[in-house]
Amino acid sequence: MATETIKSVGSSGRDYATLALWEAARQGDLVAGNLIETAELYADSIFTNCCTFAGWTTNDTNYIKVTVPASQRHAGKWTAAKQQFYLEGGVGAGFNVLQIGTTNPGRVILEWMQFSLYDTAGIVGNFGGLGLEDVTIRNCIAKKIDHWSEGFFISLLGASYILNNTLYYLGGDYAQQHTGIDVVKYRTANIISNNTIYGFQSGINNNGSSYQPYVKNNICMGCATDFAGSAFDASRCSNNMSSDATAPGANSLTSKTASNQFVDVANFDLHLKAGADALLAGVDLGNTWGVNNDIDNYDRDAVTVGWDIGSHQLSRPAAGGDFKTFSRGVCRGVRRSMA
Amino acid sequence: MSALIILMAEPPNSNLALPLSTKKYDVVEILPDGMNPGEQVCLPIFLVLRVPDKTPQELQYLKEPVMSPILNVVGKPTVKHLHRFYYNYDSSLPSGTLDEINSYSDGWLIKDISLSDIKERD
Repeated sequence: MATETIKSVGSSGRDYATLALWEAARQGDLVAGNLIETAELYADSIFTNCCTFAGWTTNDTNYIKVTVPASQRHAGKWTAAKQQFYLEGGVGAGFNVLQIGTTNPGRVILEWMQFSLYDTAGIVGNFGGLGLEDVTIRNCIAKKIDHWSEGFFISLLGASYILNNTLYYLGGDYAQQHTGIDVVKYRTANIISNNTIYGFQSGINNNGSSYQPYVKNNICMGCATDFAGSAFDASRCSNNMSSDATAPGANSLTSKTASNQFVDVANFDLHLKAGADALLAGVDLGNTWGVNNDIDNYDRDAVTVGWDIGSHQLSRPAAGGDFKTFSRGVCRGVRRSMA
Repeated sequence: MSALIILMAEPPNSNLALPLSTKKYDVVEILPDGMNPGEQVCLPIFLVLRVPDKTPQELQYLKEPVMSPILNVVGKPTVKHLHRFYYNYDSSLPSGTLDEINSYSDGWLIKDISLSDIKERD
């Protein structure tokens, strides 16, 4: 079993004040040492810089992880007192993954963070790299404040998993270029599952990928085009939902109304509410890279009746739960299976 | 006033075979002077250098990489060195400072420097 080293990052006397310092101090060959290197971000103040990962050797067992301790995490919607980034500026202001593998692609896991974006081109990319890297982004919240920006810019990365994230745009100016998740080639297919995306010009943009992404259980609503760009490979997509006609794949729901799905659209609480079409309309995707853990860290595997679409799992077993929601979902599932 | 954080030793897991590894003496961070850089940002791994009369915003360029003419598959330049700027540790230090740093094996050491002590890679 790999040995995990956890270091704290924050501005109040933690191990490192910034991620760049942690990255410089801990980078290296994690495979040779059978190591996992973890940075825990504390909400001492707002983070205004991320970092570039380079000079590491990692794999799916010996990886880099940037996470947030449970006491510092968001509550499934934007949470002001908890850990957050404010990123502003040009290309590459967010996480940039350049070199975390050698002959084999490496792995970095980014989770539980909050990002507020202004005029920046993404949280994760591979700007200036050759493109061999695998990234897992899960349980994050990204909001775009204004101007040109993208939530997650998945460019030149390898088998990346984008799971259970909530992304939204505060404005409504579709003339500006902005995208929730922008998938630009390369190496192998990316997996985009159980995300909730609202209000961008493009929700999930299939930006000429060399390998078609797998897109399942995602909600894209209130965008100029919910699922945009090149045609998605329908055989790799299913159980998505849109407010326009673009949700790709089998069992997808189109032309649905956002206000019928979410707790409070006006204030961007994109948790699902009782009666939502998304309830139990998803497909069980197993537990690869934690896809079973929703935006509130609820384990979907605890649900025996099925998965909801989007980043939030409202449907839960009856014990202490919402039986009306539960039973309505079951009925909907039965109706669907009989159709 | 700003503080430059210099990597003074190879990190414990370092793999210098990788071309983009952070090198000894690289400028890895710029912070406001007086900000606590972290409990582990100290010798023997890190040295803090204070630059008078410059704000961190004015020094952000010191975190730039060196780009290569080699293009990636989408036609963008690639990174040659992760850190363009480094501390000219061997030749620029005033008499006695080298000994002070070398003898200061565990803890914070803050030295005032001028930007002429920072050099640029090709």
